[in-house]
Amino acid sequence: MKASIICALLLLSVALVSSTPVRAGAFVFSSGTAPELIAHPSTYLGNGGDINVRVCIAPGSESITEMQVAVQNSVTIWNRQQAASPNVFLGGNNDIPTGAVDFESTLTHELGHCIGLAHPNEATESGLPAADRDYTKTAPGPNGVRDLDPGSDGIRGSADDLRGDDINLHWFNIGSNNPFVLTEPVDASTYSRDLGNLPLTDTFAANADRTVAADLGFPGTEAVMQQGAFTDEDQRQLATDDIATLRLGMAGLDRSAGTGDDYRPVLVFDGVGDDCDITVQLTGTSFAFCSIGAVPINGNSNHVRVTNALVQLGSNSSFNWHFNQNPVVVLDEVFFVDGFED
Amino acid sequence: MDRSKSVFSLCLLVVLALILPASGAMAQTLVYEREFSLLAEADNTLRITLSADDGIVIERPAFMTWPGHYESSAAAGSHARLSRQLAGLLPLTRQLDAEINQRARNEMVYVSDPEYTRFMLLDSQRQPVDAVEMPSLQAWSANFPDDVRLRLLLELESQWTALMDDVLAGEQP
Repeated sequence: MKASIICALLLLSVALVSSTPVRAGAFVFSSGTAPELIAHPSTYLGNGGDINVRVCIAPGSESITEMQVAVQNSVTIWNRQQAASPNVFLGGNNDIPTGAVDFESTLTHELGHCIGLAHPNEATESGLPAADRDYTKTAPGPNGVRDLDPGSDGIRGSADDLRGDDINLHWFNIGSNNPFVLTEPVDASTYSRDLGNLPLTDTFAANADRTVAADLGFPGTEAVMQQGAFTDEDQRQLATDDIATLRLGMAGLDRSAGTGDDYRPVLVFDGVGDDCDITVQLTGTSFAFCSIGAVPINGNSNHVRVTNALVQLGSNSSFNWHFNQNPVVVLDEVFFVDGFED
Repeated sequence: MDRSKSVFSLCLLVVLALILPASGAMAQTLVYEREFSLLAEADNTLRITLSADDGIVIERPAFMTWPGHYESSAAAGSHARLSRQLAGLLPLTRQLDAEINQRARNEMVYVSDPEYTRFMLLDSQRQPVDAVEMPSLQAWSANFPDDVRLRLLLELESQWTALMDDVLAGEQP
């Protein structure tokens, strides 16, 4: 009897895992059946130019006063599109108390989802065990499962991974496959999902995981959009891969930079309100998520835009948040965060 | 007389049928888990264990307020009440995750960074007898308020949270 119950549970588990869809790629909503899909911010309708994306704090949120600097900083960081390396500061190298989680770092990650970016890594939505979530984002191929082999370097998510028939959802720079280097212009002529465009020595797209970064000579660096945060961790600045993915979207519907449909998202912090494109609130028992809806742009199923977005971070009664109170300083083309300019 | 005997026997069978599974459930441990999977810490799971005698153990990871290990007693009858509620939800929620995912695809709704709510019944060897797991329960409930299964799971979760809050309230100065 007991054996039959355990068997049934195992079968149920297998069924649940195998039926879990890939709900995101390097862009949210991309999947095995729509690997080319690119998601754009809510106000992009296919026309070029600056597009404002208003960000508000919900009137009913906790800690409205405490979070304002952090929200403004996250908005500024996404608007600046300036990569930092290193961008991960742990323990004594940051201003976050031991055991606390940095609200600003978490919010910056979630804002990225709200403007269309997904995890570059397999992350929790893959259903994979924790140790395998650093592999590069894919959908299962014809064999129905993800093929996971870290290759000779033993690093998950690196360029020598052996992924069988997995469908790559991660855009990489053609010819270099290095997520810590930006290739100009950023568009479909320089970035690809097609594994045939990898360097001859590579077997899969590398992602901007911190272990991969160290191996490639960029210690202390990781994409903000990489899932897998830690307590007492400052990751408030973007990495090159975050910017490359955002700029690939900015190349517009034709995926060609320098043409009329290119756009630049301008996030605008609009204070407290409930009528913005992105609403931020601190409440509830979930740690952090961004919830969005989307629609195709001009009937194009490979380009969708976010319709509404809610970032929710959990209540102070549940989580030990740290609210950064140091505004990002912008001085000409040089900017610093948290006083680390000293 | 024979008729009385057979009625009595039938009654006895019914009573046994009611008592035996209930006593079996009472011998089992109930567990509520919330895995905050965006955090890659080795310990990223809130866990509440409720034993048959209503003893309660709470384990809160370091990034939560009031982190640590707490042992106390829940209100009498808590185990029996939550056992019944879980048993009632099991048949309703077998396909819930898959159906929510399908609905999300159809309606183009996305929730990032799933975290996992689990309600489990463990036997005396702490092996799962039955379980319900639902990712992003709070977020999907907000997106699909018409889904009664999500609402019922959310209500069950809030009862576990209330048990925990009672214990934590007793710990605070």
